[in-house]
Amino acid sequence: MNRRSLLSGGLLAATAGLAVHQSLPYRMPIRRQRRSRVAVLRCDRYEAVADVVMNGLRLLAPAVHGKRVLLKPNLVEYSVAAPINTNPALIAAVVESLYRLGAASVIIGEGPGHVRDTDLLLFESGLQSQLDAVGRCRFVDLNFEPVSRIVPHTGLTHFDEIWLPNPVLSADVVISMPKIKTHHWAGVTLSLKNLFGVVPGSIYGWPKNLLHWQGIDNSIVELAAAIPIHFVIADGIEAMEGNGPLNGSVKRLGCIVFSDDPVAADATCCRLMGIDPNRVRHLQMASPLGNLDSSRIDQRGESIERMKQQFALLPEFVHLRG
Amino acid sequence: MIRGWSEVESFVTIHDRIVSRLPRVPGQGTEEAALKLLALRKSGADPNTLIRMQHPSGGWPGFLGIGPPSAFHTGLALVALRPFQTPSVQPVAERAFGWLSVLDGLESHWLWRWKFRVFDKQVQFDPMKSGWPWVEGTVSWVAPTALSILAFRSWRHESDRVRTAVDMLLDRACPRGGWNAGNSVAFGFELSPHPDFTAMALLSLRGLTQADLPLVRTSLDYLAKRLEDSQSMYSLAWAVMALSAYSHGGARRLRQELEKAVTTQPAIGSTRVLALAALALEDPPYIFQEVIP
Repeated sequence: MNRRSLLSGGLLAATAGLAVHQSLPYRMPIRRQRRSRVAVLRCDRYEAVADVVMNGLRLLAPAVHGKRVLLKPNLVEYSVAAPINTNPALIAAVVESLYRLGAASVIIGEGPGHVRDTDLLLFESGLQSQLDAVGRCRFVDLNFEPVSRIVPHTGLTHFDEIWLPNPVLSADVVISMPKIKTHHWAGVTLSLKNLFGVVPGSIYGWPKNLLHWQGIDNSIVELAAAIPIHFVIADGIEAMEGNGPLNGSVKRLGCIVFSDDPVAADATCCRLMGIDPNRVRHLQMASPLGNLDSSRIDQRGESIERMKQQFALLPEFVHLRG
Repeated sequence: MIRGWSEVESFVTIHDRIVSRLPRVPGQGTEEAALKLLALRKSGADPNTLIRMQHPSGGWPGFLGIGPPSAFHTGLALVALRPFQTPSVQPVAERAFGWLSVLDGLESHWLWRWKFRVFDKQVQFDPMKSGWPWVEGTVSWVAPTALSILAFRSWRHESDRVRTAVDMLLDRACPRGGWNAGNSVAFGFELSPHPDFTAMALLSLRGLTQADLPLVRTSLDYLAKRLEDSQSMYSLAWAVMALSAYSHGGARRLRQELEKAVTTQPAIGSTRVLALAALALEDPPYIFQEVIP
């Protein structure tokens, strides 16, 4: 057997193995509600977020009274030019509103995927000054918090165990607060992809490259199956199109999306971006966790048709267009 | 360089204040234990806490008994154990070097090298040049590679891997200087350098490359400029050590910023950050290449 035939044989075996693995049924917990609720509220500028956030939370009334709430924003890297992170003004407004609705405690947790110096990111992004102004809300760096072991059950990844930060696992209510963005590997990065930030860098490194090697879609869904997201508040005031999540351009979508179902939230965000959520692989895979189908979503606030914009997509993702 | 006495006294006082506080600050992880051990190495620190955290494979995970061993933590632990000449340290180090020697970035395997050359071209790097991954089963990244190089160098442990790892760091530097987490260009965009990864890379390359290499010079200038108004003790500490290692003029300014940050942020309770600040505020600053007596 010569080198070429050995190489061909190896590749064939690897491809066959991958095909078999991808075709195996995976085991997802069923969390889909009969109907899900989503509100799309118009908001053109961050100076006006306080009232919009309060209206959105009153509209969908998440059960936060007396609860320990963890907000998981999307805080990746700071750039003067690109809207990479969930805006600090929106995060601060959510903290204030949750306390007004009777939350026992609100903490903000994030483990930036590229940056080890979270203090620097907090200072430069402006989140630290917002939190100082709000008071009574601390930030926990999920990259360095104590962790507990989770045994994944979906079979989507080869992980025997995943270590996740205790503040996430012990919260009564987890609110995912993504920035609405395109993503050069996953198509979109919304409330489910936002969960990459809970994986602790002190165990898996910066970036959390182990997740990429398990398949980005598989990892997103594995994490979503392990960590229930109870509510979503997505920052679409200034979203990102094109080469997201870091190098895309500003897209002024002019709205905030609220939902009690992360899959419904992400599906709605996709529709607002001119993307068919059924064509986004990780959303399709995560459908047992929520409602992808618009007929099962009670839509409040603005209509999608009125707010929808065509987001620029990288050539490899044009097939996602709705 | 001659400094005023009040300046020397001020540095010593702040450094001593941190060092006296460090033993009382709790810290659970390997990084904290290793940095604390280094910062207290002249104050009777006990290496056994760190030794007990070693994984049976020889590497160190981020936390005792939790998760996979990591090259970053293993490199750092080896550097931290180097000043201790107790009989228990040598076999521990040998096991650790054994573990590091067989751990390689995935791109070092011919199959992945071929994949990166033929299909996966969105991230630009030379897959022939590999260093160390954070954990097994991933490609090489800057921080674990830099810390592993520092470990091999501080123990004077000969390995061909160091040369390849140095090549990998030089290959993956950002086009305008400095280092990102692991790559320089992705999806057609230049990635921005990060202060801590830049400092780690520079410390590991000291003496292995020409100090007047344009990349070294631009990276040092980047560090000095990037943090001149920063309040982050963590990045400032790494930058002070790297700039000091090359006798760069920016070291003094950043050291003053670090000193200011330590005094104005008394609530900082992270062992990791305090220990790094203590190392950077030593006189002269610790530069990860101490001469072992």
